[in-house]
Amino acid sequence: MNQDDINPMEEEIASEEVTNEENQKRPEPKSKAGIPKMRLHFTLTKPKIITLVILFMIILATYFALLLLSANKPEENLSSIPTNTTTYSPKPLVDPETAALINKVETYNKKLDTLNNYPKKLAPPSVQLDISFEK
Amino acid sequence: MPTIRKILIVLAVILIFQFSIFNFQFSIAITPLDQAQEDYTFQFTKYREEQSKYITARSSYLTFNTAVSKSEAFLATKDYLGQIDNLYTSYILLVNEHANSLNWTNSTLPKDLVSKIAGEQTSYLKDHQEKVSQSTTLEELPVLAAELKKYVDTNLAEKINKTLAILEIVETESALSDFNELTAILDQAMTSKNQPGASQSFYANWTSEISDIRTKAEAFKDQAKAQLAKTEEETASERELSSISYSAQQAKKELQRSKPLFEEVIKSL
Repeated sequence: MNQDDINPMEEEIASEEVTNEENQKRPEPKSKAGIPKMRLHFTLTKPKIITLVILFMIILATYFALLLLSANKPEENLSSIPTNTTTYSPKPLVDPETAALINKVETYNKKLDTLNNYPKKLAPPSVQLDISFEK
Repeated sequence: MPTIRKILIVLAVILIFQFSIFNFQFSIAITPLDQAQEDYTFQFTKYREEQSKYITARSSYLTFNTAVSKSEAFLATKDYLGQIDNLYTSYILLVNEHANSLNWTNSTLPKDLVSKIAGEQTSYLKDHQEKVSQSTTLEELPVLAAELKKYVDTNLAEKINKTLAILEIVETESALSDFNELTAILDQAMTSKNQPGASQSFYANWTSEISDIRTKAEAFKDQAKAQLAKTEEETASERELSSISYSAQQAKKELQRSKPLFEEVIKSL
């Protein structure tokens, strides 16, 4: 190949590179034009809605948590919680009459478990009343 | 933006409202008995603190014997005596709340007597506390302490013994009444639901056991009541209280035997 043959080829390659670069550069203005719209969409309108939704969900969750906690009332006498409470395994279909009986027996058993020994439970406080200032 | 602020304010108000409802529910769950127990525990803790201060101030006065140490000993002893009155008052109120928590409908014993004793004791302690607060010299305080000690040993202790003996019997009577009521209900359920045959022997044995429990529990309860009747109108000695309590505890022990029997009946229905 002589010098004359090489030049046109170089020009051809150079022109191809230019066109490729042009082709690559062309879509950029389009994307630049699209970004501001997208940013506007996410930064100005959605965060407010998202914040409100999150707040609403937090409030709902707190509300249900409080409801659950308030449903679990504390026992009247924590120190005397029966340790060996017998739990019945009711039959699949328990008629209301039997269920009421089970309830009554459970209430009675709980009452028996909390029977007191008053002289022990309510013993008077031991108080030091020998006050004197003599050596 | 203003609308968002409004929404946020409304949501915050709702949250605060829910929180206050929750707190209110929690506060109403505390019974007067729980409150009395809490108060007694608090007064006892405070008594320990005042006792510690009194011991330190007394020791300091006996060592240095100065006007300042005497003044400090006077103030510490005054607070200590005042706290003893508070402690006894909270104790009497606790006993009274225990009496209020019992079911007196099936009892023949006087609830008025328990309230009367509590009223008299708290009134005396209030007067004593007033005397302590009006004292001005250290020399007055040992006299007031001796006066309170004498009252506690002779009057308060024996009246509280009587109250505790009454509470033991009333609780036994209430438990026995519940036992009789439940027995009648279960007996009826057994006769109406169970077919004659194999279950008849179970029913006969159950009835016999229940009858045995009832007879023994009633005998112990009557024994306790007879012992109570022998005591003075408003007082009972330590010994009398222990024998009444023993009989009542025996009756309660008999009633405990009914638990597995009732559970067995429920399973058979």
